Amino acid sequence: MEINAREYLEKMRWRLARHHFVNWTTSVHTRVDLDMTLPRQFLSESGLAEGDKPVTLEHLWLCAAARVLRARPVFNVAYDGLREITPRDEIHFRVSFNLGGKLAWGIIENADKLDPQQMAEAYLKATENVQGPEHVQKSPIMRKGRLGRLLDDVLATAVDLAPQVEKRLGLGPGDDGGTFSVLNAGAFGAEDFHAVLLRPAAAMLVVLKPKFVVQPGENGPGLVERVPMSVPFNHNLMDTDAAGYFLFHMQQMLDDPEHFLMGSGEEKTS
Amino acid sequence: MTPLKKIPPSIGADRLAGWTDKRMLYIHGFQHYMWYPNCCVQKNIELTEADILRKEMNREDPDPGSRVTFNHIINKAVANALRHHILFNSKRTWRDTYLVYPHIDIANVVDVEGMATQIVIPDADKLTLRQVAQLSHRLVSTRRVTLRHRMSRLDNIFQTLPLFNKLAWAFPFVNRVLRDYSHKGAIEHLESRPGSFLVTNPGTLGVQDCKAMLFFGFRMGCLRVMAIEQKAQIVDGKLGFKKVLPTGLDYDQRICDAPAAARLLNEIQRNLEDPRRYCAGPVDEPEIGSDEGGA
Amino acid sequence: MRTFEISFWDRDDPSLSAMLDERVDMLAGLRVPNFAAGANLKMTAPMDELNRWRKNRKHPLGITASVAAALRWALESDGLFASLFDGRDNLLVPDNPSIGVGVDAGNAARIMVVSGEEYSDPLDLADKIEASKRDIPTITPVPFSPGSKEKASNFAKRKRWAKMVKQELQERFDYLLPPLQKRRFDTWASQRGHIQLHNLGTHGVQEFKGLLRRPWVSMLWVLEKDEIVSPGDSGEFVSSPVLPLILVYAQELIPVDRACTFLSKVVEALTDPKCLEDRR
Repeated sequence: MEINAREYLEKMRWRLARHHFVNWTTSVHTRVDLDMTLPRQFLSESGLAEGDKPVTLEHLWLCAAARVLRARPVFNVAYDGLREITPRDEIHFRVSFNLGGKLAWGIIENADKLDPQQMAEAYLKATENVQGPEHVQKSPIMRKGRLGRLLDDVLATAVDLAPQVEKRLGLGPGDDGGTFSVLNAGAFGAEDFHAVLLRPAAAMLVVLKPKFVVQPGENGPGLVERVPMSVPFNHNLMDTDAAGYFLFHMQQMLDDPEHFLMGSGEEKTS
Repeated sequence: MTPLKKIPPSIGADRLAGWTDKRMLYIHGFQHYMWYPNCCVQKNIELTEADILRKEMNREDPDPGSRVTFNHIINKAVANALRHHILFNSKRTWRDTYLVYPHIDIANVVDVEGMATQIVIPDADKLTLRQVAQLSHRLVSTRRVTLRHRMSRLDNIFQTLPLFNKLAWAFPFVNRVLRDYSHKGAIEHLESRPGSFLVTNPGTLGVQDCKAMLFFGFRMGCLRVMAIEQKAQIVDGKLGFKKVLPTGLDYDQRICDAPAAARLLNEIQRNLEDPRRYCAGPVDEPEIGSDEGGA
Repeated sequence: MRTFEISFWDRDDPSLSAMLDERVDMLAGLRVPNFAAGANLKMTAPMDELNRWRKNRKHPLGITASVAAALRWALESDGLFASLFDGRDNLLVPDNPSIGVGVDAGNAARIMVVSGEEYSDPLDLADKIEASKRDIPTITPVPFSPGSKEKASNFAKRKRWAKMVKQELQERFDYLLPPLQKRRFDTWASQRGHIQLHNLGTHGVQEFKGLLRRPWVSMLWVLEKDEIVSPGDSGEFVSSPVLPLILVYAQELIPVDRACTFLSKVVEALTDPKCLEDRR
């Protein structure tokens, strides 16, 4: 495959600017394999999987993630990397789609107020207005030319030595859109994926390829469907355990979708 | 995965504003200027023997204050293995200088009221497994008290002295400058014995994989212990399950490449899979300061 | 209890410093700006067919050589993964990328570079790597001498420090002088390859998280084979071997879908290695 390097770099320009080192160095992650036995059972028993717009496991975990975010607002904040946290009242998902093998991002607004059926509809609607992976909603400053780059480098060094001056120099991390990103890397075949999280996001959710694991059970060994999920998070704001609790909370909701995920779920986040 | 019976609540929206104050020390520890390139090698370690030893020792002495857990066996195994891989028991001071700690002090991450804090088991390689267990229990209960006290004192200072809050970012920064550019500062930092190697166990929460971050720059390695798994295997045509412990070693890429880290991990595995031979016995004193040229 | 093989080194041990000196040269510039935002992607390849194929060949292949062939084959469909990138304006996509194969040499990995110009065919490349195995022990390992009590002089320390700072600055700012950058890229490609392949399976490593040093855009890591238990056709549980692969790639430059497509291509070649021969 012929690659035109100049053209490709031009296309990726703002994505590259977003990945400036100050934006990603504190990204770490936690992974837990979530059990999908009960949610799958719920889907087949409730008949939701057979409607006009069928509900899938993906819609269930999107609903669960949105409701967990309402109970754990620190995952949904905008964070400057130092002391400033900007809480967000709305939960707008930036969701990944696999459109013919290509990655695209769409937005699902107010995701925490949707039940699984509404989520399925919103999900379908979001595919109508998608952006490619190179899209950046708000880009950081990145000057052109060698001298422009030199100036950027000098400023980056100043920020490296004293992060407090970043805002005074008019520099910022940029933004990808949405308040919380959900990447389904499993749709592309990823069995494990350690994504790099970018400021100002405090965390994101990465869903991986489902796997069937042989496990001991009361009636002898059997196959269990598990979907590994990982939460890359900003280590400044939280530790491994907090991201683990996020995923356990999701598991708790997925184990009882009737109770936690139906309706607007205002009072049912824990 | 062992699901948690009760999931602790997160901080609420009303407390978000003050959250970064509480994490101030972490925030300056985790800044990008503190970032060190670290990679991780990981493998599944079989726990059958360690489990038998643990149960046996707990039958011998059922006192809760000296109860032996997997954590203690892991600490002991790591300390033993570090004796043979001393590069991982070091730190970087200047940009080009490594100091090998003269002691093997194992730091453990402990979760106290939602904040991660550390206890340090000094000279863990010279203690018996029982001593490691006793010391560890004592340090955890003490830390619960002292950390609460420290946090409330910090809260008070922030509230009464707003200027302190404004200038607080400078303290870790000054430490960094001292550590990186003053040799004397580095030596003083070294002698404060903050724990030369870190062991963290998010597996107790059920976490199956995570990535650690080597921060503050005074450690070259960190052992992460994940949740114990029942791994299916076919032995002589029959299905069976074995308990395995996924264990990851995060190491500083500047000091070595993956094979050297894998060798340390293999040694930890050897210690853990035969703990009766390597961890439970009496302790030999290493001959520090002999005139044999360190060989 | 075991006897001591190595005692503690003294602080600032010169022999330890000498050993690390070489690493510092290699890794100079290990400051954040010289790193790419490295994402880690994992996939597993079934090994049944691969094992049959590599052992039944006229010249049997090892795992590393087989994966190298698959990697070379996948690079034909997407050469971006073997390019060199300065982090912003200069992306060099070679027509025939060289592959660097990691060889464990004691305290630091050594790289055996197989030229892409010379070995553009995946199977030729694999045979070359397999044949070079016997040369590997001749690669000089890093000397690992016993410790000493003498302290390194301040002058020696400052000299090393100055050398490292110079290298760091050069790497960070050589975009101002394009010929300097070209020279760095060329040296890098000839000494370390456009893309690297490491086999950690020989050390029993089952999971790996890596990072990525510029100007590389990706690296492939092979882990220890795993046994996956699943129900067979007759209802009995059967165990089948799989080979886990980790692709560490620059997230800034490559979106996850492209990385997955590339790694799937490597997996495809390992699942059905005959496609490497059909190509001929």
